[in-house]
Amino acid sequence: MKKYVILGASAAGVNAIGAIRSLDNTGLITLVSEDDAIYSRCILHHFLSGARDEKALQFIDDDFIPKHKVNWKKGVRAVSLDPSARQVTLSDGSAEPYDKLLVATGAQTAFPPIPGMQGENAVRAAGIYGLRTLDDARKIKAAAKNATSIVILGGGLIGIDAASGLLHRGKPITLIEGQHNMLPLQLDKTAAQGYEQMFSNHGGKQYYHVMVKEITKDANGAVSGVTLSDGTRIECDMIVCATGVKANVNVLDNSGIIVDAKGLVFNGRGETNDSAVYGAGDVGGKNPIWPLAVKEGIIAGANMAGASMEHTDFFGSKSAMSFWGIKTLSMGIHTPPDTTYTIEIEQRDGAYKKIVHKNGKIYGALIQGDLSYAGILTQLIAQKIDVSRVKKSLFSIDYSDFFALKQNFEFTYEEV
Amino acid sequence: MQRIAIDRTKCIGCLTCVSACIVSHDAPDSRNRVVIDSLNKAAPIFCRHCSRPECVYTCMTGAMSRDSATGFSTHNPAQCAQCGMCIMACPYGVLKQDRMGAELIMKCDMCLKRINGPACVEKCPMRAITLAEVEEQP
Repeated sequence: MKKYVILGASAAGVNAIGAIRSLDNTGLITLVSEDDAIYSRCILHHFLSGARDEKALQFIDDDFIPKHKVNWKKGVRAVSLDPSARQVTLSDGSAEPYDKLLVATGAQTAFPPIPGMQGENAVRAAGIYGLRTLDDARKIKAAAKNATSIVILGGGLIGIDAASGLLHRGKPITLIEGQHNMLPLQLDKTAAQGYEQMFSNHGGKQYYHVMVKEITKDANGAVSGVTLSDGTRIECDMIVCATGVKANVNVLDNSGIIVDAKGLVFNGRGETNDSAVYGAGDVGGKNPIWPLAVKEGIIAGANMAGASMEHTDFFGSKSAMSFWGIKTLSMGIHTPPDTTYTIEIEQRDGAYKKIVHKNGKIYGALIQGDLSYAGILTQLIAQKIDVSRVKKSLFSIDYSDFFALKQNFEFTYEEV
Repeated sequence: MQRIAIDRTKCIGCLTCVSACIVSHDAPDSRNRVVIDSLNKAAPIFCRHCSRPECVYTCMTGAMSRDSATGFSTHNPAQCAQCGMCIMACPYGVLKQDRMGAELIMKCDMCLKRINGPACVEKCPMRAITLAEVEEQP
């Protein structure tokens, strides 16, 4: 009987379990997670805002663990790995032997080395939070109740998650972003405008193209404010830090498992340099988005159980966002690197659509407002499919010009 | 599993399937559509209930799920966070939000509540769409 150990109970780990169980009904599966619940971190902002309780963050059926016959060790962390003994040591002192191990430990908030970020004994100063786990969200929710002024560092998806989840409290919230607009990776200035306007309508203050020079603390060592690179001073007693993440690879220290600057190294089959150890999801640090974590989890899980699956989707440059009633899809590049690209823009009825293309291929698209049927753009961009045969506007492009059926009547894209 | 087979050559673009879908779901929009390509040929675009469903893989709330018994991928609005990820993920551009509140995902459910099966299939006057038993992609 095979013994599987899965480290991490999010998108990758949970989907790996599904894949393993569909192929191996008798093997032993142990799931180890620091998290005490299985929840979707992508919707933590709905928990902050009160729109969802903890239960509603769950992305699996209630009976998932018993149904898949999983021994779930929750609230426990894997601290070290001995590949020669095929054994993981856990934070509770116990050891888990394995035949196949999946490292799907994800990532954690990276707190930048800004002066004042650290308090006593190199511990983060009181009042500074990351937003990555349910536990983070619980702490933020509790702290926000008593906070008098909140600063959010970073105007990316996590920062805006925090902003949208905390604004309803009516407390002063200040957003600080180093680039020129909100959600700079995903949006151009025009697409960001609606969100910036809504944030400000709800009382939010925002500073762009500035850095934080220093975090100041009061006599008790708690956060008292931030000083920006342009000298602006903002008093605050709570900071949500959303400037980036780093892969959770500590468990691999001294194990001989190869880790690069971004995270765990694994191939399209989820394999690492040790044949018994697999990787999936954000711990790789390369394409940290939900759907790829799911697919990597399924593929690694299937291969661990003896199947042969290989990943072919490495397109991580896509985001869907919905804040303050405005929905946007962002795929590929929104601003071309040079003038050889053509930009087409359509703006009407509060909708904004932008397509970046060159020589019959689409490189990027922004769809704001009505998202209908826009999925095809993701595919055309990711697969670099030639669209020069399409005689209608790129904004109304659809599958008709690519229509092709497999024998089992699934759709497909034929080689062109 | 069963899938709605499409014979594009028989489709005349009458949109009876689209009306049937709207009626069957008592909804403001249809979950299928018929579009015209650059050569003016009609193309029925229907959810394929893919063996490897991108909409399910991408769903971060569990609202979109695949029933391994039927092979159908269905959407549970109660769990949906209206994030738009499934719309972005469908490689064939089948999914959309509803026209009225933009709060519901227009996802084919094979008319599971209907005794006679998918209304679009039943009403198609050209038999361009029919129910077929198919092999799943492994």
